[in-house]
Amino acid sequence: MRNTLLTLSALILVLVAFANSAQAGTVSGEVRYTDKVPTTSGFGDTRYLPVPYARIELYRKTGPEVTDAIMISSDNLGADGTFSFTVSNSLLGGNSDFQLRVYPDCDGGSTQPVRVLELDGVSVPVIFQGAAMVTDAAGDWTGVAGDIDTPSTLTVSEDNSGPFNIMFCISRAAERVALMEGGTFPDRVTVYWEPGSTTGTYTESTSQSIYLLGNPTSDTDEFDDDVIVHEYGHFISYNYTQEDSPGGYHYGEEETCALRGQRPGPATSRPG
Amino acid sequence: MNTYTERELTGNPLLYRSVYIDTRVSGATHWDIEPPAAIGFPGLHANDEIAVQSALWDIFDPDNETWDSAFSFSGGKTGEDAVWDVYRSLQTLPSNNQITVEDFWFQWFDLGYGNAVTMDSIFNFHLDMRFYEDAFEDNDRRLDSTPLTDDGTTLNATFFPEDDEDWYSLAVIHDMQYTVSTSELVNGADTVVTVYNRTGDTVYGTNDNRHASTRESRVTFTPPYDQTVYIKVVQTPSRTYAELGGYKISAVEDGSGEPGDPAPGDGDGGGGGGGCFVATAAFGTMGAQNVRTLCSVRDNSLASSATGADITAYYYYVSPDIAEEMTSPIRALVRTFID
Repeated sequence: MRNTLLTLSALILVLVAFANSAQAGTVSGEVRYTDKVPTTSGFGDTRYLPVPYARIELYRKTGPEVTDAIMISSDNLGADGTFSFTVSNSLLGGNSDFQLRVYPDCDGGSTQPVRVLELDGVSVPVIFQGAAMVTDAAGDWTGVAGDIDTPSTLTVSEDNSGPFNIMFCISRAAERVALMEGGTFPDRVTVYWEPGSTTGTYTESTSQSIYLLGNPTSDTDEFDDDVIVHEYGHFISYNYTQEDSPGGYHYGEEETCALRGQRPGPATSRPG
Repeated sequence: MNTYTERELTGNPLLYRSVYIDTRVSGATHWDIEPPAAIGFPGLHANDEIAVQSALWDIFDPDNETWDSAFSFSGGKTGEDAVWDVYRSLQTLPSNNQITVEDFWFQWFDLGYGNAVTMDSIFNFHLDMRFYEDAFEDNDRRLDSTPLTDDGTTLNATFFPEDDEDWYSLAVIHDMQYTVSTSELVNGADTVVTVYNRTGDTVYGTNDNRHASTRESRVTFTPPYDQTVYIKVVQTPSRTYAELGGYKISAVEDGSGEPGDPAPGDGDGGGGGGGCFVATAAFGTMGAQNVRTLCSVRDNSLASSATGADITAYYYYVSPDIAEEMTSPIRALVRTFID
């Protein structure tokens, strides 16, 4: 009976693939975010940088609400923020719209070193659909037979770009580690950040997680590249050499850790 | 080191080479890692992230400044490779459970990366590291003490090698107040100063930190008799930043002190009584009527003649040791005699 079911399922899949083979299309493009460039007097210009390694999901819309959608496929962006889905028109649902959700998260594969979660552990995606998806589109995004034209670039707005800047900074730092380590990337690190977070900026040794400030009234660190990578340095130190910080508050030129090890030690977190 | 790690990991010299930026709502704070002028607190460079970062950065950055010259590595390695290699190899914690920039320094040479002249220049420039014996070694014992003068002249010294003890001597006059201080601690040095009497068995004062916000030490004392005192300077056992380090030491005569006053501050002031050691030891206080009477004789009668002064000087020479050895029965006997 079991073998029969498996065989039947395989037959159905083959038929579906055959029936839709002429109507398959490609949804591809590039996701970029809006970066705020730090200067010695505050933030300067904005620029656009790729979103590396982030998880991207393709949905078919089923209703008017944003959440009215069924996931069709998922993947991770490349290091340069590019993606490509090959899907059949039937999976897109005929005349239905579809949407793309991009998470500041990756699945932790061999080259996917970071995820950014809100403090409750949730990864919040940025969602592109409808007009947002056709900014640079050359074709029709509603379900049509044949090839599906896709926009060349999806741009995350500045307001939503904080988590993706964190991803970018850490991904680039991880690439540097891999370069020095014969191509082996570090394990994935989890960064906790959300708008308004006042939990501080530090790296926690027990969970090897990074926390970043999101306090809009005093200090928010999601675009502070130095601060982000500084904390990631603690993570790297934990994993590649003896940890170099005794914990406690350290801030730039103030008396602080230098090249230090303290393991095991009483401190479990190291504010940055 | 972590700031170095951060600098290394940013990985784009054109964007990130020299400035550390932390934006705030009110603007940004930043530090340039190349010029050292804005770096750190004096004396704590080994414990200063920006300073350490600056030193390590200069090992492989593309610019060569006056304190910096090109490195030469074999096997096609770069300075970046070397720094990372040393960083990665620091896997064994030393006995104090701390890895410091000193460990980096020694590991660098243990791994054969050499370039000693340039390394020395960079680490001296950015970190004021003094990994060498000072000019007064070997003064690791009281008998080999280095003379200090009481005019405030400073001597530059180092703790090198590890667990170095430095001894100094200072000729003092009774009833004058003296202060011995360490200052300008570098490379995380954390001094403890202890002043001993001429025989080394009485502590006139000891001090770790002259106040809570410094690692400098200061001992003020009033010697009860003319003598040469001995000063021991060591690193505090509880130090966390460096095994080695440098410091300056000086001594000054502060003028007439109150005889017998214990050393101020947190010193464990020791020493005998004021002008009349034996009597003070016998009666327990300089305030005793008999002690005051004897002091009056000393000041009004003996001091007025050369012979009397000699007698007083000899008394000061021998009496401290006698006073220090007096047991209770002997003190009672002496009280009876003086009464």
